[in-house]
Amino acid sequence: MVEAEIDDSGEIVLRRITSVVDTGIAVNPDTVKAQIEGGLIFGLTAALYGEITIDKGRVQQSNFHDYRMMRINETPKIEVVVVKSGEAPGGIGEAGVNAGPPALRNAILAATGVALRRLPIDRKLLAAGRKA
Amino acid sequence: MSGKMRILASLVMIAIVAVALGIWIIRGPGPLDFAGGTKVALADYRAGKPAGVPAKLEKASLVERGEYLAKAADCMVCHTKPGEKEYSGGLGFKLPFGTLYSTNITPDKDTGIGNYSDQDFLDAVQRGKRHDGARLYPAMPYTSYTYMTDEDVLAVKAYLFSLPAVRAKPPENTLSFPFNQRWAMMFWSAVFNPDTRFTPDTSKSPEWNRGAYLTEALAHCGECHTPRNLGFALDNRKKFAGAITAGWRAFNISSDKATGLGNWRDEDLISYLSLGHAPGHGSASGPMGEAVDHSFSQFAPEDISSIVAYLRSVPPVPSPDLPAGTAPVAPASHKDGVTADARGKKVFAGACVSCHGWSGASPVSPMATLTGTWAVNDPAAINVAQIVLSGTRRHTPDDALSMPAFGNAYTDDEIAAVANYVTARFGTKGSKLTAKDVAELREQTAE
Ligand code: HEC
Ligand code: HEC
Ligand code: HEC
Repeated sequence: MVEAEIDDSGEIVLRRITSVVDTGIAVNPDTVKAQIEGGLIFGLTAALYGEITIDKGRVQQSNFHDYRMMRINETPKIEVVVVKSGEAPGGIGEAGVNAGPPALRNAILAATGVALRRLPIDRKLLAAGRKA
Repeated sequence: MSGKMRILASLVMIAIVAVALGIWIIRGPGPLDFAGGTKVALADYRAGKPAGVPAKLEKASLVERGEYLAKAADCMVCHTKPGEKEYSGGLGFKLPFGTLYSTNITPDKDTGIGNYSDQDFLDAVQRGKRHDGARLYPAMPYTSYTYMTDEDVLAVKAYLFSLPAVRAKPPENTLSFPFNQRWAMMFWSAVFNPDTRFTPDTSKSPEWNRGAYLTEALAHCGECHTPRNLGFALDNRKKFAGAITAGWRAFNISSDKATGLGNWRDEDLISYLSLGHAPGHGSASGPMGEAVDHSFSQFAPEDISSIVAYLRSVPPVPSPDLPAGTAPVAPASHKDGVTADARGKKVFAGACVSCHGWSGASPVSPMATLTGTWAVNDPAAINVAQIVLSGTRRHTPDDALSMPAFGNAYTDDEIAAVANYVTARFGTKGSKLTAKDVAELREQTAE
């Protein structure tokens, strides 16, 4: 679950993320938590900033000044709850990556009524949605 | 003459006098009128050699002399689109009424200036008249180059004609009516182009005269640093008082003590012009960075000194919208000092602090020190926003650290916020840029 704040210009501030995972027997629960946190940040980075554009057959983004990563000061508190389970252990590597963007998308829908169908998020649609 | 005719005649006379007076008022003084001394023809001046190349190139070939002069006049930057062949044109100048493209000045016969005779070339560079008789727009600074000697202009031609011909046609201009009427430039030129060569001033030193020639005829500092009048020509009543050029603010370089160069030491000016950086005054970015890299850094040391001697003589004109001085270094911890803009601080912490530090004194390179620069002390924050949008890629000195362009990854809101934060933390007075201001600045940069 993602809690987010959207201002009039369509800027997004992430407030809180809660994630519950059932991965079967968690052999190393701390690593499971870390994997989920890292995956969420990576996935939400893609949703917020991950646009790749092509000009004359060449990718225009070259480094982090024009291909942003979510910074530590933009990252909200993340709470990961690992469900106690007796099932056989399953993979957890990329689960967080995929969980972040849809949760944020739905938070935005709840906050603004704008149903996004493309990523990364277009701030202009959110600004227009807020004013509507 | 009948009574009616007499009234008509006097009305016509009044109209002519009014127009002449209007032109005289708008045109104002010429770039060298402030000096006021006795002028002599260049050929009659014996004390020194204001025109031509420095002593070490005196014996060099015509092409080599032309190369020095072409660099001193900075023909290349305007006549090259980034990423394309040098001098092949196509750089777009975004004006309020459309885009004007520079032309190809390589010796290609179809698309360049291969068919220009010596006289054609003199007409273009000194008078703004094209080979086919059409008038050039004053974005080509022929009102400065008009002060060049014929010999120097033709040396530049010899250099350009020694370069490989490049086939390249610039895009069509997109100027709107009435600005697309080239012929109308004839009147502009008649009023604003003095069409006269440099005349030395015998009351001044030979060094001053050399500096005047380099500054006015070749380096055209005034084209960026002098405000414009109603007719978009240079207003030399406010000579070197600072102006906006291609969306950047070229600061006051008159001898005003508070806001101009009055308090700069000679060595600081020499360093700023030849390396693009002076301790305590910041680094040359944007159009000035380009001018330093391609032009001023190539000047012989005695030519830089002459320019400095000349600049010292330009009367002080204050910039009333700048504070009386620059702010001291900011606190070392982010917890102290101004935090007016939380979003600005967030962007600064993420994208800027690693190079510029919380104090503004850069931990990585003296060139990136923000303390003491007018950029961060300008309450309009124009250059701060511009440098964040487009970064700078400096070539002088060789190992110069550059600043990346953040314009594609950050929104107009974020850029306005970080500019406001930077001017509040490191400058005298915080700016109040909005996303709309940033969007407008994006529109003005040449490309
Ligand atoms: C500040 C930018 C700038 C600088 C510096 C500059 N030019 Fe130009 N020049 C232009 C522009 C823009 C045009 C096209 C103007 C037009 O189409 O009316 C032009 C046109 C010309 C033309 C006319 C070519 C043609 O047939 O269309 C010649 C020749 C020329 N420049 C030579 C030079 C030389 C030589 C120098 C250096 C001494 C120089 N320019 C420096 C901007 C510049
Ligand atoms: C193409 C436009 C252009 C030309 C030509 C140009 N300048 Fe500049 N100049 C600028 C801009 C823009 C700045 C502001 C740069 C910055 O803030 O990083 C500047 C800054 C400066 C500064 C620093 C001022 C301060 O107080 O920070 C000095 C000194 C200076 N120019 C001198 C000159 C001299 C001397 C010449 C001619 C030999 C010249 N400039 C020609 C655009 C120009
Ligand atoms: C990789 C290091 C780096 C980063 C990151 C960086 N800068 Fe810079 N910055 C520089 C350098 C180097 C210069 C001097 C440029 C030159 O020589 O023309 C500079 C110049 C400036 C100047 C102009 C100072 C002057 O002398 O006129 C401002 C303002 C500025 N930076 C603001 C910022 C802001 C705001 C950010 C974050 C959005 C930022 N910088 C990020 C390296 C950096």
